[in-house]
Amino acid sequence: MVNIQVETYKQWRTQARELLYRQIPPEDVHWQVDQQSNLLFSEDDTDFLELPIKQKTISIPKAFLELAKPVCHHRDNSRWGLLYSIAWRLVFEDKHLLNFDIDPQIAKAMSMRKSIGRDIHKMEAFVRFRKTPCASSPEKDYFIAWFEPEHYIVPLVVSFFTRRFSNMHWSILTPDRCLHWDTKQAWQTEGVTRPEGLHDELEELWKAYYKNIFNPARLKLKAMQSEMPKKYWVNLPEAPLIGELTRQSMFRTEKMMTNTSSEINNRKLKLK
Amino acid sequence: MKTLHKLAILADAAKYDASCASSGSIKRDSKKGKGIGSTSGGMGICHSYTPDGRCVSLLKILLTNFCIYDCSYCINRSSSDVQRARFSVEEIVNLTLDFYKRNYIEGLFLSSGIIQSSDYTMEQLVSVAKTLRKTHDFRGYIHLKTIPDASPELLQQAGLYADRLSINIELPSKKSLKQYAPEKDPSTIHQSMTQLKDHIDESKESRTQKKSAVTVTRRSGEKKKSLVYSPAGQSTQMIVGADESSDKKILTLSHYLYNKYSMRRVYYSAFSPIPDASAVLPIKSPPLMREHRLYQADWLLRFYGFNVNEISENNSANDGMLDLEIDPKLAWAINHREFFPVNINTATREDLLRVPGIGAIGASRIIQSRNFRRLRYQDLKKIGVSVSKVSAFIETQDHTPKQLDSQYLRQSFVKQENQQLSLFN
Ligand code: SF4
Repeated sequence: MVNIQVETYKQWRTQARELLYRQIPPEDVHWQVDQQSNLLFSEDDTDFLELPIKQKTISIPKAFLELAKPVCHHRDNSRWGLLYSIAWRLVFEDKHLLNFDIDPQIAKAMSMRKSIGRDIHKMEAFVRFRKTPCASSPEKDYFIAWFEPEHYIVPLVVSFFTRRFSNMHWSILTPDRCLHWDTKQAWQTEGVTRPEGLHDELEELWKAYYKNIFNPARLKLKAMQSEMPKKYWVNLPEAPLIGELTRQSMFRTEKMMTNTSSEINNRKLKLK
Repeated sequence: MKTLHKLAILADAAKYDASCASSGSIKRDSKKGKGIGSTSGGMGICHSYTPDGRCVSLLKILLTNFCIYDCSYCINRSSSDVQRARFSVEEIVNLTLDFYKRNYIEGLFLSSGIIQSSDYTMEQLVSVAKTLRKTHDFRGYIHLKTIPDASPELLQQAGLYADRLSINIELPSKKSLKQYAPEKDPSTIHQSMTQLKDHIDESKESRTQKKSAVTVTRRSGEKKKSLVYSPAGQSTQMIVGADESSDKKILTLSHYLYNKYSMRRVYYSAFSPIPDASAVLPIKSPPLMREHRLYQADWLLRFYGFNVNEISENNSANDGMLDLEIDPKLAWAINHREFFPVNINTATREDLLRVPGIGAIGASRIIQSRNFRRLRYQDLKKIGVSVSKVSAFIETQDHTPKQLDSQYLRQSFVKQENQQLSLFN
């Protein structure tokens, strides 16, 4: 049994390559997820790099690396093993494997990639910055957001947020990792717990907008929830309004439908 | 009046516009700029959803809801007793920037009631966009609703700052427009759409030319500037259910608008009850299902190779209305059973697209997978095709449809559809 611990796509790729050179099959590799399981295996842990190289060249399709890259950010611990197993099959069994959407492993990897894509999309959509005075230079505006992504996707959203908010100072805090930007450079730090007391006066305007852009005559609650699931609501300033708006909407619609218009009222008045 | 109060009034007045899309522009970011903002070049982002299930992508507001016109379907018409407000250019600019900095929005969708004159109003709209772009180097999305009778010079300017321009066609027929929006002139609407199309085409051409002309300009040493005009094109909106027009009439008009003006989107807006509604129009709940079916039909027209007649001649009454109980593709299939079964392993892409339950992605996956081996019925599920829908219309080696000739075929689908819809309401 070979024991391997990796944390990033790059590390995984390097290790996978070495394993393939030595033709070590997936069932002989144990991909560790944390330090603890290390203890269990430490006894018969051998350095596989000392094993002889059996395969001089391996070719892995680019499409696979493009699949592996996002999947490495999935929270499911089986990801490293799954990807190695697919790589193995691509090299030694069938180089067209990726075309079989119906293969269970391919299907699983694809669905993991989809879930990553969705998570990135939701993070880009639902991060909410709050303006806070900057401690060191109070004349500068500083923006902080707290977000809880489903997967380890912070490295995958760097480009989006820095391209968009290039000339602002900001931090996005998450339980896994934090991302910071000072108008010139981005850097990441360890995850933190939810900060207390973030507040921004502007949220009153945003809530007023949210309340009024909603048409009560078109209530479709389930459609809304499928796009904006409840798990995101805790961090959205507008979410507390949803209940009240929904409750009132029947009443408001009915009122619009029974209200005789001012034209008719005016006409009635004139008749009197 | 405080900004908060104005925002409440002028967002409320804007909510009857169906579009909130921020898609289809060119790719930009603010890395080398002084301001903020970016666009992806593809789809925009929905930053929130309201309880009506609609996407909130842009700050969608009116400059003012004062209006000298009196269109019966509109909450802002001069005879309505709604509370009025007016934003200053600066207020809108600040709101847009403040919202954008918090990641609430992709940009601004600005329209307005008509005050003083069309040109005066249009000037104000352009001035908002210009200030955002020039003074603040704002690189997010801007959609301007264009006043159709504004001068050509103003329309020309608007496109220099906006990502998308739109002029609403409002109603499906000239007759209804005359009846319900007597001050609006259909021929002006069409003229302005033509003008926008010309500018948009011209700018597209200049951009492709610029790419190919790089080497030439390098040699001659002169800088050629390509003109960016409304890069996300133009769109329009039609109100559905305020007048008597049939779906066939509506789709025929859409088809015309897509072809003639290269519209990026035609939006359908179910006529919605409004506070203080005009007495000449029906007061009823908005025909949301009809609106939904029109969007499905619109999709079939644009991406699935259907024509208007095929789509709108499938209900038993033959009145040019879409079947509300089942989707238009299914309705067509049930009325054209001679076309089926379609063989999954041999059919062309075009024919696959005619099968209810197989969309563009499904068709591509089928074609890709069958390159390598014959597909069995069970494989379809794994590809992500909804088997319950397609099973009646396709054949594979191990499957022949049983119900294809059944007189209860439609009924069985109505049941399925109802179950699905109840999930969403
Ligand atoms: S011109 Fe526009 S804002 Fe004015 S009444 Fe007509 S539709 Fe409404």
